[in-house]
Amino acid sequence: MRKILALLGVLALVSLGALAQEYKVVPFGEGDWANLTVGKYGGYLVVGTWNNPKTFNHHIAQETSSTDITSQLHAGLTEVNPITDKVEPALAKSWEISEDGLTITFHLRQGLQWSDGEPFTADDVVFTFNGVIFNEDVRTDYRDVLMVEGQLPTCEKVDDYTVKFTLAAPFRPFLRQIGGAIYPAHKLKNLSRVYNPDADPEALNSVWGVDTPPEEIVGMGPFRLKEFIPDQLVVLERNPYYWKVDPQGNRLPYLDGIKFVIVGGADAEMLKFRNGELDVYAPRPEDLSTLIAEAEQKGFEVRIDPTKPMFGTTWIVFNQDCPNEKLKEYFRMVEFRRAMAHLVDKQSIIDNVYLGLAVPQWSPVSILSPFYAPEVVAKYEYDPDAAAQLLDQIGLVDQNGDGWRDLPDGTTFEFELNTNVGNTVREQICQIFADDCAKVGIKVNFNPINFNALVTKLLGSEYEAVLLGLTGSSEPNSGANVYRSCGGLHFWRYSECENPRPFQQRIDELYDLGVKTYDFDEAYQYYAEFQKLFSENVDLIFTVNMVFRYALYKNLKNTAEFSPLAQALGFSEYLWKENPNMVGNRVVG
Amino acid sequence: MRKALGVLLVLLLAAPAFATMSAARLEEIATKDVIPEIQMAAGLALVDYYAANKTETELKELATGGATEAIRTAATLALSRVWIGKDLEYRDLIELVNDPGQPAALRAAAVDALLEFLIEKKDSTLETIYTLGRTAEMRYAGAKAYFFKNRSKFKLADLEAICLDDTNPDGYRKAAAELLAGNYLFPPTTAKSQGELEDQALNGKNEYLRYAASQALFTLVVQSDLSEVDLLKKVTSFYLNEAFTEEYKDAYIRALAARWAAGL
Repeated sequence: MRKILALLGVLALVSLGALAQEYKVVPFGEGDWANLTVGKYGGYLVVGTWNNPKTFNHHIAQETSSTDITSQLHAGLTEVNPITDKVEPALAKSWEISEDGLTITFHLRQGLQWSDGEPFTADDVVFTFNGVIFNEDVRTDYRDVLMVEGQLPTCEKVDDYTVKFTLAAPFRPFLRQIGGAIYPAHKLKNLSRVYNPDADPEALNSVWGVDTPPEEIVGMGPFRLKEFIPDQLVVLERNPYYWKVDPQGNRLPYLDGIKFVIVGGADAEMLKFRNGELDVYAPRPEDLSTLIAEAEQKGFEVRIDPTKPMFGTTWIVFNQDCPNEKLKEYFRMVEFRRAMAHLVDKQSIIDNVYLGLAVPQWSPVSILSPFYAPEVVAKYEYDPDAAAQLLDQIGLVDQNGDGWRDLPDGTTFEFELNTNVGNTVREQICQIFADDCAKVGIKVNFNPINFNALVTKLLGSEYEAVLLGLTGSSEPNSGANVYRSCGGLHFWRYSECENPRPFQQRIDELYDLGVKTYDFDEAYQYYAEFQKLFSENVDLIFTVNMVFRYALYKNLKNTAEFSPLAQALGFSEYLWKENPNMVGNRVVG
Repeated sequence: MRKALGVLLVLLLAAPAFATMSAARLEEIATKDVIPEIQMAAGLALVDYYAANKTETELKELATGGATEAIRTAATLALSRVWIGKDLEYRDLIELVNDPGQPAALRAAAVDALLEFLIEKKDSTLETIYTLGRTAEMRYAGAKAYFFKNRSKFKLADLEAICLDDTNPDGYRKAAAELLAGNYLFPPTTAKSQGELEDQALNGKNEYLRYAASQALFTLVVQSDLSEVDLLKKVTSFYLNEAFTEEYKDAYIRALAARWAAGL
């Protein structure tokens, strides 16, 4: 009897504890979530990644090899629904916006806990913004997307579960942009000079490096770091304190964790997927015929949606701050960049590299964005003759008859083009571009290099030309860190932060205007002008955009809504496995 | 009369299996059914089960000494599954696959695990392997890795030409045929219809072209609305019927196996 009473007592306590926590209930089977079902616990999602993470510090990370992992560890005040692309409550359960649009008050969920069990309160939110994001010591691009009229919002605590942001001007995408990772004050506050004048200014940049003990990295995301073995594996495990539940009250996520297998390249990743060692894979065009032929036999499916281009962009960039002064002079000439744009044979790339599963990209705004304005963007179509004419105009001519155009001093005009080694799609695009350049006498030395080394070169302005990609979203302001003159990823001309070109000044203005209006049509006009200016000046030469395609083993559930927006990791807390002991088509435990 | 008897026996063995298909029942069919094609379908349906439930030692024993070809094939494929990702050493795999003294079933089972190493090799190394490998499995593994690395360089016509060229090594042609099979299904603009694939699996100019068609045909058959019963009837009709090629039969046998495996 005592035992029964004790048990009842425990149950009551647990029950009360659960009531005290304001979980977010995800209504599977209803509305936006109609195609998702209540799952069962267990198993690991195993995905491939090509490179080691460079950091576990989400706000410092600038490369997907890091952010694919760190984004699973953290949560924000708001989040974007992976199905609808709409902003929804997350750590904040609700908010109020003042009539003038300048004050936004967030009401936080109560009773939530960090992944180490400590309570989550308004202090964490205030610390994250005032102590980390708005702290100039911290090298984060996140500040770029929160800026309006050159000013950041202010953030203050109202009470333990209420925070208030005050803006310098109305900020249309504020609710979308404010959803960045909230950091734990109890772990990091002492490292911020805002709160501790004796702190090292570098402390918040270097904290949570890849050698950090996993238990030190604390977040509000669905998973927490369990193990990192360089060149082999990153293992995330379920955050036992996660704050979302399914309609039956089961705490998410369903999976025990996620394993990121560091595979080194696309071929190895593809083979591991075919061999049933990975659960999901985003195939390259060249993979599709092989995968489609094997899908039924091996128990996976291949999804292709030709109507949905991906959100990101792929581009060729010339370094306008190039250490080679002679090259820099030409890279800064818009005629040179337009000539190069005329040498990107998009149709050939679509036909030969993407097997028809891609569309031309002309704009810095994602094709799926409602702000995409194809009618105004300048299109420098493939035209070697036009390219040759432009090159002649700027004095790049073949002086010695060897077939290569020369600099005025008679030396051959040539540049190195880098992309990340192992990305065979990018390597093929580079090769097509280099071949077309050769046709008009431009010598391109193509040299694929390691991804992390490439990112270091790009961000350090130590490159000549690069072909790479950027992630994207439906909101143009998410690209503020790229397209604003002082943006952290303005990698083609960091120097113009001090002295922007006139069109770039206008782009900076347009970015302000675009966020200050709540009128969609007005915002559209600003972003259309931005797209026109940017495309005319071709600081980035966009190539093509592949359509959505994904391969996944059928054992993985709640995948019906995979899309260009979220792919697999955007659904990580909802995914579950029919047989939790299977990875791919293999039983592993 | 013999054919009719075969049909009857198959129905006796297999029909009850519809209601309560189990691994034990599949093993019984794979071992005792009088029709080899039905045996093979049952064996292939057991691959996942074997991979999940048999030890490596058991699989090795079954792969080399199983009662029927169907059981040996099932165990070989299951062993292949088990060896993938098992952190086997490159040297051990090479020594196994390239040693004519090792059982062919074990050499075959090691090919996929070996591939994970071979795709890191230079094309020239792979060319040497697929040309001079000491065993058919080694030559096939080298070719498979070569085509995997270079698959975007070969168009459908190139692959058909490789399959038809008698001077090419055997493994090279087989690996080319497997890549060709995918080209018969994608992209949609050039994909072959089920009828075209059936025709090629029956009447293709050589076994490699028939094999390519068979691989692609299997996908379409599995995706079709043919029921387990339809497929069983079809496979049963292969018994002692010389109108069908091995490649054509294989597509339907594997499709039946897929249906049975799904019911496990």
